[in-house]
Amino acid sequence: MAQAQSQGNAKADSVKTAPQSVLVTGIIKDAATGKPAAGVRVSVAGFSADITDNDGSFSVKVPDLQAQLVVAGEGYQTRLVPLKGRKKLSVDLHSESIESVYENINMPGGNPMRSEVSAAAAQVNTNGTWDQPLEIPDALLQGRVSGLNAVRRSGAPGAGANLFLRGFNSLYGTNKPLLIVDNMIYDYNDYGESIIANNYTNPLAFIEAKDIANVTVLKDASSVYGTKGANGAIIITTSRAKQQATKIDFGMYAGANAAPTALPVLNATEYRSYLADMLQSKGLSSAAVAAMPFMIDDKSHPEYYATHNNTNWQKKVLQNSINQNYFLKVTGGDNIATYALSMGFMDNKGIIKGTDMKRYNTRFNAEMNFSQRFSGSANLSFTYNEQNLKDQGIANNTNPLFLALTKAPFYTDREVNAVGDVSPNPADVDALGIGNPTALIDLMQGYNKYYRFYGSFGFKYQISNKVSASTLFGVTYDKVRENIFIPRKGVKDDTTSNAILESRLGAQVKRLFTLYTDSRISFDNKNTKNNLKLNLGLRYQNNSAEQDIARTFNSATDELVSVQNGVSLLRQVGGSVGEWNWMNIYANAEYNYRQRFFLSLNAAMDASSRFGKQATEGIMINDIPFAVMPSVTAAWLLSSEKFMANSAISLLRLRASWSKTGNDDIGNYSSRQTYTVQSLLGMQGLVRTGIGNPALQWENVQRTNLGVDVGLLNDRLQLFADVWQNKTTKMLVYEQLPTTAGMRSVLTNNGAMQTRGIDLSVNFRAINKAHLKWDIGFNATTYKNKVTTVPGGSFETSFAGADIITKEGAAANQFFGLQANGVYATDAAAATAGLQRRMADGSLRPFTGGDVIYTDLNADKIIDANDRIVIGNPNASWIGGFSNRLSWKRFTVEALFTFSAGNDVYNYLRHQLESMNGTNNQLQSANNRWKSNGQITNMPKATYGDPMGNADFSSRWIENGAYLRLRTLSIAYNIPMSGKGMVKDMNVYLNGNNLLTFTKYLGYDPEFSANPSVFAQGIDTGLTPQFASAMFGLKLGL
Amino acid sequence: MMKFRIYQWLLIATLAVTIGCKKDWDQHNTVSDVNSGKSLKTLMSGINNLSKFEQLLAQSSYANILGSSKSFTVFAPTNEALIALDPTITNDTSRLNKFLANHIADLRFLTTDATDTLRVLMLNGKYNNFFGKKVEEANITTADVVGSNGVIHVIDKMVPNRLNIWEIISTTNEIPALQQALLLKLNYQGFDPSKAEQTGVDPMTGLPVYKPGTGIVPRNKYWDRVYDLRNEKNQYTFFAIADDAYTTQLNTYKPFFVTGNADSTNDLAGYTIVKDFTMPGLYTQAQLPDTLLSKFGVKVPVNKANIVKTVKASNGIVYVLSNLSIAPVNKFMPIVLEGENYSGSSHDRRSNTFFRDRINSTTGLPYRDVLVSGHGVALFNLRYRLSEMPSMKFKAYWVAVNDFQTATFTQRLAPGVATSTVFPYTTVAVNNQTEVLIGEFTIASFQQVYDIFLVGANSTTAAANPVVCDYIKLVPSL
Repeated sequence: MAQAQSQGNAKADSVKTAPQSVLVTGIIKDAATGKPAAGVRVSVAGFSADITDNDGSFSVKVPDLQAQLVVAGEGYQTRLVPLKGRKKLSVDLHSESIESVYENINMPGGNPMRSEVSAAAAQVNTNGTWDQPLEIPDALLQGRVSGLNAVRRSGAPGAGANLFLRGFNSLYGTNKPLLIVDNMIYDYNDYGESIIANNYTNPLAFIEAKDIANVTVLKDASSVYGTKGANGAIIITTSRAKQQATKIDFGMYAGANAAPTALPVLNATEYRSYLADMLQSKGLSSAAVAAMPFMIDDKSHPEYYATHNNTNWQKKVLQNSINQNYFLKVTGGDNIATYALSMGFMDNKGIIKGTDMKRYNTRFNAEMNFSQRFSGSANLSFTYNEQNLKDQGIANNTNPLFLALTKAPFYTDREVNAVGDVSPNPADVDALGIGNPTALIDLMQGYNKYYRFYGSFGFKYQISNKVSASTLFGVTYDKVRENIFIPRKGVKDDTTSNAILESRLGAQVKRLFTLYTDSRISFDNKNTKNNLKLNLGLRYQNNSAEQDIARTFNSATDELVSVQNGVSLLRQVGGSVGEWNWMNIYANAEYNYRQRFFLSLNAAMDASSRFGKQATEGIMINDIPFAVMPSVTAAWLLSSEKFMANSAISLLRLRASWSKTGNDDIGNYSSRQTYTVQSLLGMQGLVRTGIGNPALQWENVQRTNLGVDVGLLNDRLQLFADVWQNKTTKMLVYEQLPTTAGMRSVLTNNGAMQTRGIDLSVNFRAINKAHLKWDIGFNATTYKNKVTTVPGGSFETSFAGADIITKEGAAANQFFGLQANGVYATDAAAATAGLQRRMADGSLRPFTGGDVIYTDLNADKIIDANDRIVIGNPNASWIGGFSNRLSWKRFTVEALFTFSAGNDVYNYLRHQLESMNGTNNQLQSANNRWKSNGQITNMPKATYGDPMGNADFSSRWIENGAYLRLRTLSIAYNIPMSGKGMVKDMNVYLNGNNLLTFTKYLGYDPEFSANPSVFAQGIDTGLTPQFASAMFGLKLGL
Repeated sequence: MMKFRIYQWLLIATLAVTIGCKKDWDQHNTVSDVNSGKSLKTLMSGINNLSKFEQLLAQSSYANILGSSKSFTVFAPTNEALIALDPTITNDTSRLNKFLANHIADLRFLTTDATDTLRVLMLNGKYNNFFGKKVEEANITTADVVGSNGVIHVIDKMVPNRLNIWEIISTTNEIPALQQALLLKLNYQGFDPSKAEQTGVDPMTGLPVYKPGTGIVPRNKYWDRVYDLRNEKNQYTFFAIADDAYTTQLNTYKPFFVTGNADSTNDLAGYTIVKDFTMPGLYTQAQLPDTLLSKFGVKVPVNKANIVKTVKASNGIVYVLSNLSIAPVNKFMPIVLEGENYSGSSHDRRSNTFFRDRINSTTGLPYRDVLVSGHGVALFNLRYRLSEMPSMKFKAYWVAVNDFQTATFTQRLAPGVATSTVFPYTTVAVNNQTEVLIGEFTIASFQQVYDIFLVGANSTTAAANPVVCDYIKLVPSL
């Protein structure tokens, strides 16, 4: 839109040619073939223009010989060509498939050329992602932009990825970048967790990736978003009509998801020996053990057939599944209005049996010219998703995958009678107290139905050639409805203080309603030397979120599954309500001199209902605190300077920026004094919930960025490098209170943290022939996080049994545990070491053969919490991606590799499966357990209850989480069409995801993210693993 | 061409990754100890000198057990040790099974576990003593060879399949005939509901109804009252004495069991002798003290020099002695009847009956007694039931504390019947907390059931007819 406008102006201007001018002539050639390129537009912005002839020649008048020509042609990338004193030019143009610094990029203030943007910003042109039909937008971005770390949450359908842009800036606030979809803030926070254990309702699953036209990742200078810009911003633009002719695209896809390779758990034979050892160490006599039904190998025993199997439980839970996707997009219009209309359906079955996701999506985007000066736009979308889910992660009694790993393989999943006849009914909880995964697969119900309406209308009035006013008004309405039923058959009971919970029923409804407006006045003055653009605007957001949960238990039979059937005495009802408002006044000024020097100033002033009334920073207006967020960026395009006239460097640009942004995710009511209802002996009353901190304010993040862009070989090789630093001050922390306060802690702004890093990205067209083109892209990011201030110098948190230390001078989320150095081979070796362990009753017990050798850090000969050290850092030292695009005639092959290196992972799942402290099935490594004196092994002995703490959180469970993965591989073939029939073009796709993963990680998959918290990163809680999938697709252009 | 090459590379890469991934797991799961990953069956074939034992296993029903899962402890005798094996065992599968089963136990027991004597339950149901590097009499020459499904200990002797003490008594001639005959005479048929076939439930009582004739099991009075000598789990030391010494003893004890029938007298006297001949625990000859205390509190003097035969049993040891005599004065213990534990009363006077907790001022010990006062009945009595009373003279004592009134009153003991006048009325003095000798009485013949009564005064006056008693003590007067 903006582009069209500026081109219109350029045309108008070109008529009144300036008096002093120089004529420049030249030839434009195709860089791949060397043949002249006809029909390419050569212009000087706001001055003159020409179109190349069939021989590629042009002649254009320029104001002087320091001007820069804009060269743009259909199928070619746009280029800015500095004359640098030359009168005659020869330009080799690359095809548009090469990323260019001269392409237009969507920025908060408009749509400039990327070379004009001095902030660190990158753009992903997804080309509609027709070749990657199943991607959720957040996961789609993985490995494509340096600095953006997209960690896929799990392999559950629609789970998507947690996004971290340039590390993290907050401990307790959000670390998600702000998401802007079609100029409006897209709320993708989670307002209350799912009642289906450890599932995440991903709002980005509402967006069909094929609707996305492009994505801008704004890593810096996001201060126009004020206190919502602390983590940068991702700006998504959905599809628009590129031309007025009606264009219909239809895509259909079908494919298969492959169940991940099963973890090597003990088989029935190995497990029975392990179990015998374990029961012996529990203190059972050999007669008692021998009397257990699974130890009696007598076929006439009534339980023989139920207890003498070799069941591969993982196979009972994991499955190969199918997926399908249909998508229709219609674009077109006339000179009054253009539109893009799309609708789609997706059905993706999960690799856990009984899980799936269905999506029904619709979108309507329109742009209208009501008059010469008055235009409008509409962006409306409605998506409805339906999911069947199972519990995952740490839900040891109800997660079917975890049960499959820990259940004794000699049991079977169906009831079996004394003569071996198998019933279709699932077997109940076994004698070892482990539920039946098949009962959960068959009988558990967990469904989630959620939808979102996301729509906005925008209007723009061109007051004069230079001044325009625009406004946008939008609404988000989101609703999530979840229901869960966990049967009593085959599931271990839960016990609470007043009841034994057999079956479990629940329902949850979550609502989000947001009103959003963004109004601005823009001034745009362009001439040959000085270009100035100004924006002044106001954003306002009004939000309300509500969550209602009901849980009941013990419905009369497993046929009664809805929440009202539970026992009313055990009913639990809860929820939350949140309302908050945000106002943001922003101004920005962008100036450039001859498109060589760039300077931009931004500032925002924010008010929010969340800020405490006595916030110490910012300015007070009418007793309301306003956060002030300024930024300044500058760039110098050296390669357009005269002294670079004869250089082999085709592009050289230096960038610098400093900005201050804020994080308003401090809780809706944390700054206020709140009360909660409590009952005491039947009397209802109100009690204080903690201490309100009226001085509570936003967190500040100061970002500094230095960047350089280099183009070599006529821009065939491009390199972008940034060195950056994020400094968080006024960071939220929980400060411990003295016991006399009566409260444990209070939320304050007394923390500080910094992250420093480097982003690199390289694009190279390795082969540039007429029919064969090979583009290589590489991006990588490294960063180091350091906490600079926290109360008391350090504090610990724990997640999934891991202790995590946050300590000044080090990364915020390091694993903190005992250092294990193998296993004592003999009792004598243990006695020589002389270490002891403190028991629960305070007594000391010496280590013996088969116990883990822990490092006695404080040399007091007692292994306890004081011997813990930092044993791992979940932050990767390098993350990034490596992409290849090879096109040969009508074939296109794309391969994207992603990698993560130097990150440590706490393998909670392996911890559970190698603890050897109970009757749960274990990994095959348990075969290597220490059994007798002199045995050299690294697996300790199996002891019931693990009194010596051999399975405590220690370096045994920390692994190298590095991986290199072939994230996607797609092959597309464009079938030649005569063009005469109804079908104008036809493409077939073959697409594979996660086909290869190189890793040393001992788990299903090294990539997971249990939740967005800083303290949950790098912890494998046993969520549904990532899986490989392959699809075949067909796209028809009508 | 290009495409093909990529395909090729991809294929190679896929294979590399598949192998690579597998390698990481394999490396992690490899059993580092050579033996620890092998089954006992495999391990055994790798140990020298066990070929004979292996061969016997192959012949038996235990052919595959050591290759199976679960967890076992195998005490494997060397080839040399098995030379002595009776060839009839080798040729009889059921005997061979029993023999081999005595060398294999469920679960894994290491020598480091056997720092104190472990009673290891073998597959044949017998227990072997495992202590340090010894199992029963065999020495462990190669200890703790641990495999995936248990452990092998190589031993230098066979572990013989022994009989238990009861089997020795009942099936062999190891113990002298008279005692053997006596013990077997104590056999009777008992009822075991768990072995019976239930046919229904009595609608009136709710109790199970069993099919007649089922659930009948052989029992023995000695198992019930003394120790069940068939119990393999525990160990016992059993003494038997030579027939002549036994006969002498029998004659000593016969007068105390006067019945109308010589056989009955013999049996009763015999049981009285042998009931003190079993001691819990295993006493080797070296460990045997000169006096042991039996289950019944009887001191049993054992003169080691008198041991004429020692028989090892799977659950202990049997000693045959030339003589072991216990004098009746040591055998018959005083009988104490607690006043509050009476078996019946002449009239239902529960509302007049008090069980009182007091401290005895003489002994300083707490006691509970019975007081029936204000019952309004002349000759009110409390009955105390005794069983199996030998025919002998007893001295009778009581402790009767009159601390509830200032006047004295009288009561008397009536042995046999309530109207007996063997004892006169005895005055119960005020606050006398000591034992009072009432007198002597004689039981003429052995009494299966015998009652003794505490009778109140022949008066209906409350102050005159209370009955009070802490305890009654009957001391054999020999």
